Amino acid sequence: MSVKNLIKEIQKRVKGILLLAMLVIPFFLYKAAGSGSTGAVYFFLVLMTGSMLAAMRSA
Amino acid sequence: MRDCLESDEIMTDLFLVKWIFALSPIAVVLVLMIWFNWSGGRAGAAGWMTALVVSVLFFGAHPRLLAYSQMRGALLSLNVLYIIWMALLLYNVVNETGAIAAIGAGIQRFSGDKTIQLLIFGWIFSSFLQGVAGYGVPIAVAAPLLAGLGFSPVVAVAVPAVGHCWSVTFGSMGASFQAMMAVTGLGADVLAPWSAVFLGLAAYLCGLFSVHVYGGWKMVRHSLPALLLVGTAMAGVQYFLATSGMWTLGGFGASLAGLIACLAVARLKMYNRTETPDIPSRMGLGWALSAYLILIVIVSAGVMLPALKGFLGQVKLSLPFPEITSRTGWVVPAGNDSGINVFGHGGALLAYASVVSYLVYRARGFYAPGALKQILAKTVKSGVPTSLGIVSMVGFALIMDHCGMIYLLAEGISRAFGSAYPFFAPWIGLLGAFMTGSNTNSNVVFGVLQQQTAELAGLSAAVVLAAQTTGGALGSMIAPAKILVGCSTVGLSGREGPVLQATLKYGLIITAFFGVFTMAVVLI
Repeated sequence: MSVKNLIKEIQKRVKGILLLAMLVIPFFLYKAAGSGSTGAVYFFLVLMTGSMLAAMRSA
Repeated sequence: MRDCLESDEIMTDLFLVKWIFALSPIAVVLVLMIWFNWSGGRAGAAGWMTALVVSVLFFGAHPRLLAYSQMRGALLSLNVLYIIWMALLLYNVVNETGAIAAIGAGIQRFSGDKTIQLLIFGWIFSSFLQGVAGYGVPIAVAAPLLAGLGFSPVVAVAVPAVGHCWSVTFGSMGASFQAMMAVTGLGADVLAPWSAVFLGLAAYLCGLFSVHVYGGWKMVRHSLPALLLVGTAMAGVQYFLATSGMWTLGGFGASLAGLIACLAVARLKMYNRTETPDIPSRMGLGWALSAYLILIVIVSAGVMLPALKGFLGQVKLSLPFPEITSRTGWVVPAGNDSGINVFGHGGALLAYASVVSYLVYRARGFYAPGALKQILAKTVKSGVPTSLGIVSMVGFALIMDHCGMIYLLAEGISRAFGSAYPFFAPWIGLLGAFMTGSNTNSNVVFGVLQQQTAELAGLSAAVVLAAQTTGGALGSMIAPAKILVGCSTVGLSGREGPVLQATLKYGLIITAFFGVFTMAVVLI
């Protein structure tokens, strides 16, 4: 599969990927908050924010 | 003294500023969806971003609080999405056979009167589905049926959205009413009578305005006898069931009575116009409706038979949450989330109905080759955008809840309006349901606040709580989460704005009516 086709395929599935991210990231956030890892909480919050920003552009 | 007054003014100004900030995520979603025609997914994400910024800057949100709020949000979303995806699956299982068109043709044969068709599906059948299932199923199932009858997609979604609301509190086996009893500590003997009176009145109004959505006041006049007869049957049976200890069957029994009454009303001379169906159908009405009969049997058995309910409820996914305090001192108590009952959940019951219906239709040869692939593809296509909207909106509602923003909004309303507070009691319920898409959540969040405010003001808590749960029930017609579900089943995904515009108007009118009614009851 060429890079162009790959990008097209990803664009087609972007909503599904975003949905999956929004449902899965909170589990990592819960785990990180439970273990007291502030760095990991920040990291996953940034990921969650990124997913929302992407959803604002493409959903 | 002057210093004291100035200090009070500053406090009031600060409260107002915070109140406006607390309102901003809701305002952003409404403005983007209604005026800019953004999809629920995009507007929900914008609301989430707004809630994130406002909660961190003004309401003391910290990373740990945000992390737990998002986990609770994801679990609540999964609870809702389970139903939505399975409702979409059932719809596609039915639609792929051509059954929706067949139902349309069958109803036209039964009664050619558009008003009766509209009332059967948009008011009574959707209320029945609320009685046995809820969580968006009434709109998801009734909207495509109405579209199949030739109603425009916007009307097809707006009518059941308005029509089913009265049965939300006592529907879903009384889950919302149970929640209100649990948080307030008041029994059914105290809460049920006034709640049944309020929701009985709501039954008439929801019917009236669901007809108005379609044909304006002219159509309302034409349908008045049907509205009065069926409405009286539903309101009366609901009152009887609620006040005689059978409130779990309130929504279910009342809408069943409404269905029977409507069959009698359809025989009235003014409605009894039969027409030749203009939709060709290769399937009889009985077979076309068989999937919904299977659904009713499975859901009724799953909810009402204690042995089966216990057997299906053995596997429950739930997570513990610690107590969290925001930097401004708002405390969210420790506890488990409500959990997902994997095999006894409403979504699971819909899944069983989908599988059985598919097997029945396949055995009868109603499917073309490759139908299963088509069913799954269509389910995913409409499910994903809808789910994006729900996940983002529930996510920001939970941020607001965990920072005390929702509580602040309600407190502001009750503080600002003093003796006029009863007028705003249903509006607070409406706000909670709008935010969370759930009458149950609204009762959980605002039940105690309403009870305490009423008791402090020397008002009847039973009346104010009846107004709270009625507002919460009416919130179903404007909750984006539910509108999104309906739109996804009639090809309106991404174009939810016009539907929300229509239902918002009726939601505000009916809530205002109940505000005035609550004032009248507490003053008398």
